[in-house]
Amino acid sequence: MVDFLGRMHILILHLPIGILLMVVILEWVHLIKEIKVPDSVFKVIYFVGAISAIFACITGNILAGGYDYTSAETNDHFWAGIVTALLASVTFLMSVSGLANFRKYASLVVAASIMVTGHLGGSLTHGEGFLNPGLIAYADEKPLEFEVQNVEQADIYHDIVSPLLDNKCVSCHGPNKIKGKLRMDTPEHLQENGKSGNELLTADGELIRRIELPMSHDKHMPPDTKSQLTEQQLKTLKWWIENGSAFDMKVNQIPDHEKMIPVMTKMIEESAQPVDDRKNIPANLPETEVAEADVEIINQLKRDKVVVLPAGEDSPFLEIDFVNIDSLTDDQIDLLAQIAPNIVHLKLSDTRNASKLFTIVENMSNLMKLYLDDTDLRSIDMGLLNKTGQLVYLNLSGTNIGDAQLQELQSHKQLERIYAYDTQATIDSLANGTIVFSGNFTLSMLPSDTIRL
Amino acid sequence: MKKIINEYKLKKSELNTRRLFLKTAGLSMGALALNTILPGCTQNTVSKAPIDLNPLSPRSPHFAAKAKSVIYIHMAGAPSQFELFENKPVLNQLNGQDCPPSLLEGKRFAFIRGVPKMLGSQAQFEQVGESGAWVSDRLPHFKQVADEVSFIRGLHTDQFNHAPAQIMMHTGSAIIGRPSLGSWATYGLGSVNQNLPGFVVLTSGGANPDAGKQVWGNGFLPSVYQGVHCRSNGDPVLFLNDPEEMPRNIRKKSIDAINDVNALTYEEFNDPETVARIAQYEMAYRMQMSVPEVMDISTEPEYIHELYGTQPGKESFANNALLARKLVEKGVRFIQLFDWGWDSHGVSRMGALELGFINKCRETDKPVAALLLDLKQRGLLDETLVIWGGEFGRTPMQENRNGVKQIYKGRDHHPSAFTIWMAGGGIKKGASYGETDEIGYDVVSEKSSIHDVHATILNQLGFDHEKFTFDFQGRPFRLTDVEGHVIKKIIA
Repeated sequence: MVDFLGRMHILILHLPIGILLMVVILEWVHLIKEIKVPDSVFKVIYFVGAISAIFACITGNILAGGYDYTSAETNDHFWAGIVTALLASVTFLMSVSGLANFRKYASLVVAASIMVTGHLGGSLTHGEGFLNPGLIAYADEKPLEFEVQNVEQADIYHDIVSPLLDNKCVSCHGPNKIKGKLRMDTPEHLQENGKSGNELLTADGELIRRIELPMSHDKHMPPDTKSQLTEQQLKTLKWWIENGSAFDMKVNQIPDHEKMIPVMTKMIEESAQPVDDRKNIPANLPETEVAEADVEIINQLKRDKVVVLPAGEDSPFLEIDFVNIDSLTDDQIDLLAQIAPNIVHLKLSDTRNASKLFTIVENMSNLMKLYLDDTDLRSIDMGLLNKTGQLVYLNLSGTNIGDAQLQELQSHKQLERIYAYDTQATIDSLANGTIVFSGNFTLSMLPSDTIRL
Repeated sequence: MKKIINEYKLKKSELNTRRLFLKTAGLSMGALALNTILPGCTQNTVSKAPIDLNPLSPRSPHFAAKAKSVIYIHMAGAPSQFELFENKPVLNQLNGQDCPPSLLEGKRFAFIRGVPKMLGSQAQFEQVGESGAWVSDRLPHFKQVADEVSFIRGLHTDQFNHAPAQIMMHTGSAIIGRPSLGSWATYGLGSVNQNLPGFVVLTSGGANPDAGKQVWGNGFLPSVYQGVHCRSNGDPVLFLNDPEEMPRNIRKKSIDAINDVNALTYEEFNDPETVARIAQYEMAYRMQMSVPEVMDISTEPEYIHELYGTQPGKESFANNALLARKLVEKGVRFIQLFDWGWDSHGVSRMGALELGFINKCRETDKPVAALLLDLKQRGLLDETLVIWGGEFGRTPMQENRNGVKQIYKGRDHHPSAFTIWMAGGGIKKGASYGETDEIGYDVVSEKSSIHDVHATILNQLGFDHEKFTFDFQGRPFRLTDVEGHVIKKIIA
């Protein structure tokens, strides 16, 4: 019940805000002749305003007791709330006594006091600096950056642990939000322990315990929606804590540092190339930047039943599929030429006149996958594909390609796989390491395959 | 004639009810208000692309996808993991002993009553390939492709009866009404091939899965996204052929006329189901030509028939496996293969681990291995995600239906731990995720849920499963509801 009353603070606090701000407006519009508000109405409004402000104070005090805040944080809001309630009560008394003339000035003071109190309260729930979005973005996702030249000589807390905690913990356990009464942004705060009262920085302490809980556990840290610690980061933290969690030592002053230096080196290297493990976006697109393809050209191809799709939402790269088309036309070649740098996948499987592609293929600088299987390739210059520097996959199954033409690709730097099933090709790799798959897999018939029990 | 006109007037007036008036009036007032609140939002952001009403138009997923197609092989009835992929020497030692009471306390089984006996594996295991995966001698052909797949060994479900467990496996909920995995995929991706549905279902084993068509149903998605069930014997799709003596051009004219009427209806009421119906008529007309062609496996060369063990004209899993490859080549996004007959309780010859189960293995082992090899040699495996599994696992205890020992060897339904595998489509080769205890009763590490599997499949298709939603009954719905983590350990 007490808990419930405390939580009612969030509801009740809005009553004095609304009522007392409204009465300011009424006080001043009252000066306009056409608007008449009887004095009795003012008395009622001031009364309700004062009472609700007092209730907000009481419930607020209950809430602070049962919640995760420290008294230092809530102190200002606490006193501001009491001042506001007192001021509101005084103004009410003015309205019922003979001092009604000063009422409208007093109401301004009450309004100012309400705003201060409201702002302080808002900062408690939403974090300091909520009104400055630039600051908030900084607080939420502080990038992981180590400024370490020599791991052995690095300062263990300042150079290694602190950046790690800043990145993984401080957005919720820092100056802006203090969840579980725990701050992790300074050595002093780290030694204070959190709401649970358990030791934070001991070998079996709360920090490591929470990180090692299974993801599905409610108490797991960081929360499952946030990025998790890597293996190296966890090892480093554990090692630091197991060896006394020093705040002023160099790495090489701590026992077992020889074993840990490669771990930390790897951690620092990885932080230089951040991995977005939450989205897990397959990085299978070229890293080059291209301009968006002309929408009119895409629409013309689409009207022609060519499937043209961006490689993922908002990607400028295109995947093109001729599955609905029997034969490649000159018009289509012209259109493809105009969007050549955007094409990453081109599927011409089972399409006649595919040889025409070779007139423009060298412009497809970002082409990664090319399907020419079951096409009627005739007298083509395979060497032109050497100019498609990003090509990793080439499907020539079911064509009349032979070894000689494949050899023309042996200087290609990126090409990983050529599929040459059902062709005249006999080689299984090129000089540059490209693998040539000829397939022709068989599964021998076993006697048991046909026996029924 | 007068009657028809009167009925039309009556129907029309029914639509002008008070409720409809209030609804449309409310909406237009809201729209008017919005128009003034948000000036510029409507004028300046005119989309350059033409508005596309076809619900099956191809679309992009959230990010560049590794898998373009999915072949989901479901062994309906739930095959026993202890006779295929789970080598448990301790269980073999306990064979014939009474099940310890600690395993039975608080548990409910579909058929086991009293104290059952433990049942060791009825097959011989060996480690195969570079990955060293354990595979039993029930799957001699699969041993050759075991390095292509990643096993999920710690999967669990919360359903121990076939129909709800199958619905759970394919829709993420045991209660009917949610869209199936394939419907979600088609809703998200459309169909690249204009002449074929985006989602095809093939069944074998003599019966449809226990859960019926719900496992390829569209749920609350527009009905155009439901799976199209094709038969491998006779007409592939029923009711697709023209009536006798009706020429194709007259058929075309009649369909055009129906679609014109439907287009008018859509203009009036804007019901997306009308668009779905138009698309279905047009699709059906095009399918009359394209489906018989793609469903005909008799034109495949002889060595392909030898590879799969196919016999054209028969209903078999092998034929369906070959068809699945052909459909992938034609750009079909989602192919579901159901094979019925894996429910090995040991109460009949067919359901005996030492008889019928072996037959099922022999019917499917070669085609599954052939499918992986055939996709691989054609360069299609790296963008085709193949999934193999049942709807739950089987118990390490021998079934004692009604407390009586059965004459054949069999196992009861077991939702706490079972094994599936995935291959291709950006999945790691030869990886394994999850571990069960030494008798395979419970998961001890890396436990995964069906939502995790769904999240992983959607991830491979290019979707963030948390953002892939459909608004229904006032809230956005996800395939994974509020759960699911992508199983990153098996992703290449």
